[in-house]
Amino acid sequence: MARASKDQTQAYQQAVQHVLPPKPIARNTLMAFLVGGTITTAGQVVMNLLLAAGLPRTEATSWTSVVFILIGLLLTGLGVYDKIGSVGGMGAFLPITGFANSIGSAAMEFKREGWVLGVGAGIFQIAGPVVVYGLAAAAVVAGVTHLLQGARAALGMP
Amino acid sequence: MTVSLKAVTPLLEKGRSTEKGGGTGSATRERRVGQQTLLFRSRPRVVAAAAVAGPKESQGPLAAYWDRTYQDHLLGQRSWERAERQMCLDAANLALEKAGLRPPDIDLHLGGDLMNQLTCANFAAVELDIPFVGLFAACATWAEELAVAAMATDAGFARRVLCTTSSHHDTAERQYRFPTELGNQKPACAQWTATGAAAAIIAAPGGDEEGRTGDTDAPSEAEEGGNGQGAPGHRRAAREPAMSAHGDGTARPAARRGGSVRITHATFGRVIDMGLTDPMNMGAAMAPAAADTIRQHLQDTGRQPGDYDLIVTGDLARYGHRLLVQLLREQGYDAEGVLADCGILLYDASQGVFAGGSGAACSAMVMAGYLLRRLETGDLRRILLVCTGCLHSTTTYKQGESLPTVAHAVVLEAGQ
Repeated sequence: MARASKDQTQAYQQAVQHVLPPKPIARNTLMAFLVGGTITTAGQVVMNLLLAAGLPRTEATSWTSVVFILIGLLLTGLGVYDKIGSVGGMGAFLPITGFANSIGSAAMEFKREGWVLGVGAGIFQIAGPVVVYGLAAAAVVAGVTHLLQGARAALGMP
Repeated sequence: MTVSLKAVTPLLEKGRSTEKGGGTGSATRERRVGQQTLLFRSRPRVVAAAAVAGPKESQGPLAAYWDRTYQDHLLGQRSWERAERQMCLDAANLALEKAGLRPPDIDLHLGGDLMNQLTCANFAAVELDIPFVGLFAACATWAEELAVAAMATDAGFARRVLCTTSSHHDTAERQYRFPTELGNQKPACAQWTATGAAAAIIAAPGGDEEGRTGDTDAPSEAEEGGNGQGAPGHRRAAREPAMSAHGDGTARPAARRGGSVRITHATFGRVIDMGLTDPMNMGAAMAPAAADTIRQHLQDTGRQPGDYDLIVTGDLARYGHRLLVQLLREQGYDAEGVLADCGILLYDASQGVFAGGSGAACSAMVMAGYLLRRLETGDLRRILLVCTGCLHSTTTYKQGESLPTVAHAVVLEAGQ
């Protein structure tokens, strides 16, 4: 049998780790900070402009998201965002532009398989897990909050 | 170099069994050496070969060796898959033109690629209209095809065999990884799937000068028989003398131009599972398979690494290559001086390909475009081509299975 034993796998993995260059954690962190920071600062600038133009805060935040989703989609379509992502890592993925990129890139990839079974089914391939576990986390947090509020009322706290 | 690989070597050294291979029949004894190596006594010839390359590959160090290059990832097609199929067809037609042959002259077409259900090979086979056998060994497909082609021609089951393989960066990204425009970050050990295709025509030495089915067809049909969409006119013109000479069976200049390279041995590898699970680090996963096949080949033939001008692996890339050097050293072979890797040769480090190239086309292009030419000019006399393949699927690695790998080897020799 040509399957390695656990010990052999472990020994080989050590050798592999020895050959591979160390992960550039410092550089990746710095680039994520710079790229993510730039995107979010730009977001703040847009929101401040909208607020200065007299929009209420809730509407200003919504419009800022819309603007940055559009920017993310545009840069994805132009073939720029994958390069930003390869440099910025999580700094490019986490802002809403990254969410737009995950939707836009999947849509572009699957459009050739048609609008229904292609785009329709594939568009959430990357963003799907984010949505699913985002909703799951929100449900858990809402449940915990509800219980804590109930406990607080039972104890007669304000 | 301080980490010892001693624990790993028993897996690779043990080989398949202690019994001497070779079987019982005398025919088998004549055709096998040692446990796993096949000996082709008729020395099948590589009549002609062609390599076509995508944009990134045509800017690499081997740019001068491609028969055709494309500046557009899509080749004007409507999907990546269609683009890959077109590259495969172009390579096949260029190889046929170089050999002065047409599809009816070929008895068997062996094709393979990385896509599910061998998409590109199967669809290309529709156009070529040659009896077709699809082969899958991931990035080791090329050596597998050459070995099977040599078997078929050596045994007389086919006079001429066409081998084709292709890969496309974007079809592979989509199937194995993420949408191509997704901004994700890859580790240094990741590899860049090569965009390109290669084709080669293998013929038995006696059989390749006779029985061209072109003899039975009117010469005027030669044009459509070429089936070459986008084939430049001057190339077709160059083929004419060869085609017109078929009647009297005299010299065929087009077929004689190259074609001095022979396949003398092949070693099919075992599938080795080292227990690694990271599909972004295939070079490391495949290095033990390459080491096993090379060791087995050297043991079977009684040769040393120095008997080869080059032992060239398919796509181990930078880190897999280093591991292979170590693994072979553990087994008593100092091969560093003759070892090379197609994944390293294909790109310049500045091209942003992480550890190096990969893909079914990687070793095929480098062999058909570059190494073959160096063999034909006599610059290299004898090489061992060891194509390495990682046989996982997108389903298996998501289910937590480790990566099974394989390496197949063929010996290519210059001269008659």
